[in-house]
Amino acid sequence: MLLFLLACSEPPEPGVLYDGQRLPVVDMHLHSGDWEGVPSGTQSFIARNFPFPFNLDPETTAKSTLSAEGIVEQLDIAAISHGVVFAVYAPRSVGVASNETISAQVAEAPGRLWGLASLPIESWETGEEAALAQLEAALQEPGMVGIKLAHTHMHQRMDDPDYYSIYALAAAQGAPLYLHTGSSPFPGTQPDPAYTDPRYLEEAIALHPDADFILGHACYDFINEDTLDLDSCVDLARRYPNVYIEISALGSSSSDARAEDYPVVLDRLRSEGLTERVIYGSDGPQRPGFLLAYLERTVSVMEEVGYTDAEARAVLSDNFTALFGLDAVTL
Amino acid sequence: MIGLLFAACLPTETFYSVEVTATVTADADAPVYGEVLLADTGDGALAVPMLWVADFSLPSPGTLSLTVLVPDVGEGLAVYAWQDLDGDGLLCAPDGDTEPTGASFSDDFPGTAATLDVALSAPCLGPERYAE
Amino acid sequence: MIALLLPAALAAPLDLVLGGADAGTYAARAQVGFPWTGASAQVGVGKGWALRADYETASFARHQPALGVGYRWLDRRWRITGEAMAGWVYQPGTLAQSGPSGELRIRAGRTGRVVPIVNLGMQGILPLTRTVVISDGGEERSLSADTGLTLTGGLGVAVPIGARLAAEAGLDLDWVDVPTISIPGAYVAISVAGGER
Repeated sequence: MLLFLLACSEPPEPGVLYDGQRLPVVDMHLHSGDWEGVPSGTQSFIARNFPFPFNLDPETTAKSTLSAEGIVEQLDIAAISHGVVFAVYAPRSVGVASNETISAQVAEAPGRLWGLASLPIESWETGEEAALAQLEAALQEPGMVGIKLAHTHMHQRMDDPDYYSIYALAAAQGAPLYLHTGSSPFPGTQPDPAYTDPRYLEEAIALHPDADFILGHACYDFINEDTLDLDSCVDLARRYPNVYIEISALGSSSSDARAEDYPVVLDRLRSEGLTERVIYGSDGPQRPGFLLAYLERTVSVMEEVGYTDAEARAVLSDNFTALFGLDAVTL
Repeated sequence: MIGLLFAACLPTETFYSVEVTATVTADADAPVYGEVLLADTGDGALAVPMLWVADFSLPSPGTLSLTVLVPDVGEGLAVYAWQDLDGDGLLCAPDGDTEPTGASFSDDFPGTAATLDVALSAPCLGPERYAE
Repeated sequence: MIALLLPAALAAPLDLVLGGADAGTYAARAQVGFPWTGASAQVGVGKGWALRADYETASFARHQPALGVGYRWLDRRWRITGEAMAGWVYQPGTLAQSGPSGELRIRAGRTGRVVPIVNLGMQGILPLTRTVVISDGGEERSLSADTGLTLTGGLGVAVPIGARLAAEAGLDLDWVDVPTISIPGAYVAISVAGGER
């Protein structure tokens, strides 16, 4: 009922209050797409999280949340200035949201949405050239500002040199790379360390100093709900200036049920002097109200572990815009 | 009577019970880990090659027979294997040895038997890299 | 879920008391709402017993037919009835399930010109899956059953209209397929009854 009222009322003033200041927010991790692009096992996985009776027609329920209009509505409710929607080519697990779908959504809300492009990697032996061409073309579309990969979802070894052409293209195009790191709870993912452990990325990072690598989810293990790979994440960020860390999803109530891990991660990143390399994202929209809830949780934890307002501003928007070569967000 | 009316509408899962005989050859004498996979599943954007079905292991290269329940959702079977030269349970870990991999395909699916020979040679490739 | 309660002091239109009716009486009820829509009918067989048939559907995507018996335990200022139903739950689609169900429920209400209603119940479901295994020896078919639980409940108000009709409105407060979160629903219904007490 509260969310209904929020949706029907005037949007709140943009930004989030932190230490008496109103800070702009960019949510760099949002998902979209079509229900038909999700494999049946994952459709069931997602539908089980919808309430009755909306789980009886999950396609209609998902559609309202995943549209550009629906996403912008959730950004408004959360007072978030901009969101970044991801293209995905992961038919084995989370499904497919094509570059065309995402660039069309960005075009629907050009002042609010940016997009990250991706590419299909199945049958790489024969399909590499075409896939790279597809990716390069997608990056020319307005508002498509970077590249998204998810090795555990796409079944792509992090240390396989045959995929390094993607990183070379990223460097040539000036397109930062967002990489899902850590395990994933979705069906059909590849949980082996070569697909989740950021240590396997080091060679790629070292060989491509002109490419920027964003380690998504701060290398969190979503299956076991632990932070064992955080050391590797931090180590890479400390030794390589082209490594950034994004903090989506690991602080949600479903991922961090005891509310213990998110403070550990944010505190560690601050104590290691890495706040200039931390980028905010939520992994929404998931459900109405999630973008707001995750932002509130993040702000609460940053306050708890002592982020200054300058550090909070950097994490919530400035680090993203600086990395992606965009104008800083002003309120 | 109500039950009879709806009994025809039960969700149904169909499997083939397949006798898989895999012969794995390699230069070294070390444990082998492998997978039985469906070669081709799905259509269009959701087409997925090399869909995992079952795991197996051998103490050293040799022949293995196993009965696997394979879901009737695709065509062709594959066996993928790699050899754990350094005994760490991981294929080509960052601080480990370079280890050989291989895969072989059979068109005998849907079916109830498949025989495959897998030679381990190519280093550090995941099963998805062998997709045809 | 369908919620019915009728005051003893009133005539047949409010007499679709689940689980109880006088011999020779009959009643039928139709409900529309979100998400539950359906129909019920019952025949009194005497001494407080009734035979009942239900069909209800949630958003026309989950179907629950059932047959059962009811018994009226208390019939004074307050009427309390109980029912036992056996049927089937059929839900196609992404979260497909199909299997037999059994439900026990209690309904209570205070008789008068305006009848407040409350009902509580518990429904167990055995979703069935058919497995076919094809081997050299041929085809082997088997059935396996999962388990499911729904806690039913509701609040409503019924008002008689003349001698044989009653109107009803209320809230469905079911917890369907525990632990899935369930959103409350609402309904309106009309009952018609006949026969001689």
